[in-house]
Amino acid sequence: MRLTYPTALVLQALLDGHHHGFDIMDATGLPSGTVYPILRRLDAEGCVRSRWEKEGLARKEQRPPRRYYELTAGGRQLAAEARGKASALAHAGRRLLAGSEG
Amino acid sequence: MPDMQSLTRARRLVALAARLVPARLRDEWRAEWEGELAAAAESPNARLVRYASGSFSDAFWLRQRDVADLQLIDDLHHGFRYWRQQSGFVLTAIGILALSMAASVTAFSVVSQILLRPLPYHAPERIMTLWERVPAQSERQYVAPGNFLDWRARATSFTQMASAEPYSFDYAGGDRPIVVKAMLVSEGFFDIFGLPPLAGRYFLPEEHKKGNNRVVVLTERFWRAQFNGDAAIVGKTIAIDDGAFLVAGVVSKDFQPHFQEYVPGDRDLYAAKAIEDYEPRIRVSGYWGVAARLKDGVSIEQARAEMDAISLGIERENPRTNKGVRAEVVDLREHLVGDVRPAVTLFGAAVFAVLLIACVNVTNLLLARGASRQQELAVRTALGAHRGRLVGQLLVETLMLATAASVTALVLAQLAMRALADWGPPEVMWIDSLHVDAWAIGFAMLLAFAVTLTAGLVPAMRLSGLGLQAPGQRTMTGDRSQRHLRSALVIAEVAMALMLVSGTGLLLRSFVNLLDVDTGFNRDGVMVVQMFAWDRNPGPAALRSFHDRVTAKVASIPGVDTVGVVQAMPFIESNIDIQGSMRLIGQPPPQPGEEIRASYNVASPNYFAALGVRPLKGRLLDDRDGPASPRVVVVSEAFAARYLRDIEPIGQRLEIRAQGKPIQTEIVGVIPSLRHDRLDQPARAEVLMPFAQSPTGSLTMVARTSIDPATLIETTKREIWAIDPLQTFYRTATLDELVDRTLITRRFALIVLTGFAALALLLAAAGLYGVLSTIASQYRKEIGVRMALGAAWLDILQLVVKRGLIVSAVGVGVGLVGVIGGARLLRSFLFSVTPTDPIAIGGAALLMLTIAMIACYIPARRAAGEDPVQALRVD
Repeated sequence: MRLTYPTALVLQALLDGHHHGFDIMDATGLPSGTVYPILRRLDAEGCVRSRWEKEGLARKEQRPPRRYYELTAGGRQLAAEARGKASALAHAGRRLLAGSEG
Repeated sequence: MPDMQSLTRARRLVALAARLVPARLRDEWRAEWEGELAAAAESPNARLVRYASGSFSDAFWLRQRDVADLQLIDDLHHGFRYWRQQSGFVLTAIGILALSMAASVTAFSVVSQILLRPLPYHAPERIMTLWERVPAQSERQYVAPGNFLDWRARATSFTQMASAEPYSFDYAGGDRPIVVKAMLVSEGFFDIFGLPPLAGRYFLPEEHKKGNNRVVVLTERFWRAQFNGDAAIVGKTIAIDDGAFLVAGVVSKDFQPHFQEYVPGDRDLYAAKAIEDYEPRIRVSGYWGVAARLKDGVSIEQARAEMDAISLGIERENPRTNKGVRAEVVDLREHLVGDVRPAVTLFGAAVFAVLLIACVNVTNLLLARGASRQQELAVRTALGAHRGRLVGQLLVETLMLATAASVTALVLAQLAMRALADWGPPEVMWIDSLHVDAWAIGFAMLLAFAVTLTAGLVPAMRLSGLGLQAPGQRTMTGDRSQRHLRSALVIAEVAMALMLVSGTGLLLRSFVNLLDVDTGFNRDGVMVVQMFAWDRNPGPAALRSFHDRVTAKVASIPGVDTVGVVQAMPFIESNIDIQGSMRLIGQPPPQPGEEIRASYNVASPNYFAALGVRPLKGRLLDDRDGPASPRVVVVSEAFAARYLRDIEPIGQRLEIRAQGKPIQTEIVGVIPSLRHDRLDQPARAEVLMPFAQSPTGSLTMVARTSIDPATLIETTKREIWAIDPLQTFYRTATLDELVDRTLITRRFALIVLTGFAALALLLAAAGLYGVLSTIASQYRKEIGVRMALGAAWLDILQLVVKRGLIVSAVGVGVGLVGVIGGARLLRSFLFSVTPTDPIAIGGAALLMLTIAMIACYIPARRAAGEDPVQALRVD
């Protein structure tokens, strides 16, 4: 699948232990209209799996239950790849900047 | 913490977005968003509504992914992705389609809003107009009072027949007296139309009796302008001419019978007509409009048969005046918009041709693009897409193009219709009310579908069929059948473009011929001021005195060189052709039907100087011809040619019946024929009497000026007001303006058709260029081989150019057949040119071939200039 920058951010957030939509938005700074379609796509590609949180927890806090996302093995691999690409990009960017200055 | 209100609003947004989500996922999806919203509401400063708006993007994603649920979305998605990659192609295609669709929408609106406009009257299809058909006149004529009165008395096919006579009054209600344009209408005129009055009432039968007829009905426009639309004016009197007229009522601006109007709706009021004692005797020089309502159960054919019989009877009773004169019954719609029909047919054909060319071009573009998409389509086929699916996808892409083009076209059409309202021929009814309406929008949508099928179906079928080829497969010279198809399309384009260019050429030649028409006068630097002075200067002596004072005063204005006066001024709107009854004294009496019917005019000596007219024979009228001198006339060349063929004109004596009395005069000169009405109508046979001997109150002052005449009009009015502050001016203009006014329609037709032809030429050239570029690139390898084997640069150039020229020549050939066939449409627009004029058509063919040559040369040169090694390396 295509690895866009926002996808990489979402993967990183999942890797960092954010598991709900709103938390991922908070962590990445991406708007909801971007985060959810990415989660759906990752779900469709088998990179994340989702389940509903325990009923009891939600009832105790008097709110509706939330959906819980976590990376699959494939997802973790993709996240690692994304991180590698991001660092390669950052590296290339630095080189370019250095070149233009020199 | 966010308030409850924004949480509610956010929930509503999510509920709305949920409708987009495929049904089987909807409940779960919504539960997730509810949960997330509730969680988000916990945190401070969460912007819930903005957060919730993201649910739309989420829902869209799910929907478009759900291919089985709705394929179209997927196709649209494909289309948009394709557009992003091919923005150049997309913009070109949309531009081409939008221009031609805008022209189509405009033409459609002209038809729906002018030709088919519902008339606001009761049972409008039963309202007729009646005219005189006179031998030797190509157009139907207004009706002479005597004939109208006989028709009305004898006809039984109509419930009501009434006349409308153009008239003008002076209205003194404002600062300065102004001329108000009126119609004197006879009994029952308004009843024929059955449109209720806006205020008050129409005329009563007794108000059409002499002495009772100082009563008017205002038009809505005049009522709003002069009385602020105040209904209290009804029942009061207003100052018209030197008396008080009762305002009976107001008629809506929808009421436009369009008799003797130069611009529709230019009338200010209607006045009750009482038939004058002398009017039953007037049977030539018709100037009354006549309307009638058919009785129920009587057909228009029956009415025509009856009117023919009545006309024959009148002819038998009045053989001298009514020889061959027939009544013509024309239904109201035909009278109102019949003149526009040939123009609409012509432009409709032009628009259709441009639209077809545009479709062909887009087809060509799609085919050319398709060649480069073969690989994509082959992959999709290999992955299991069946052919119907691919055709669908390709058609949806074309539909997206066509839809974008139709939206653009509606905007362009609105602009075009504004331009038509401002610069189009003003005598066309309702032209100023054209706009994009619901029908136009519907038509544009229909066009989008039609264009999709016309331009998209062939490429879609072909490309989807090609998808089965193995990707990467190449032949040496490309796909032969596709090349043939594209060549056929270019032939069609060239043929249609040639037809348009030829038509434009014919119009252009007509226009040039028209401008070359000798009017008999010099139209530059002439000011024209039309006045009616009868009422304020009664009697010949008073008229002479008014004339002498006014001409002296105006002649003293700096910049004015010569001031003359005439009764019937060439090219002025209300130039009523008064035909006097005349006979030559001392000549054998003429055969029946060959009696002199000539226009009777009055002019002062300086009229000729002001127009730059010199005598052909004898002399002009001059100061010798005073009130007490022997009575003299000059005649026009057309008069001499028609009635004095074997007679020496100078010294010939002519008896003229003017204002009821026979006057014996001597012909002292022959002048060139002056055109009076339009450049495309023959000159009048005219007899001019000296003003001093036949003073008239219908005065048109004609001044030759040494500076721009338009700048002198206001000064002239002021100088005349110094003599009589209550004098009004019916029309002020420059002579150039007056002549030019009659050319508006033709010039307009020429400009519009030139625009279409240029567009067609451009599109055809682009089509040719596109096809040859493809051919040239497909031939790269062959060209490389040839060049490697020693073919010269010129040979290669020839190879490609020849192919292009064959295609264009075939197109020109097909087009010529079309030109001959379509010339019929143009006939009524031509002047001194045959519809098969070899110069116009040959010129068009030459232009087409030249453009084709240029379009061929560029890709040919590129192909020939290529390095053979590079060319051989292609794939």
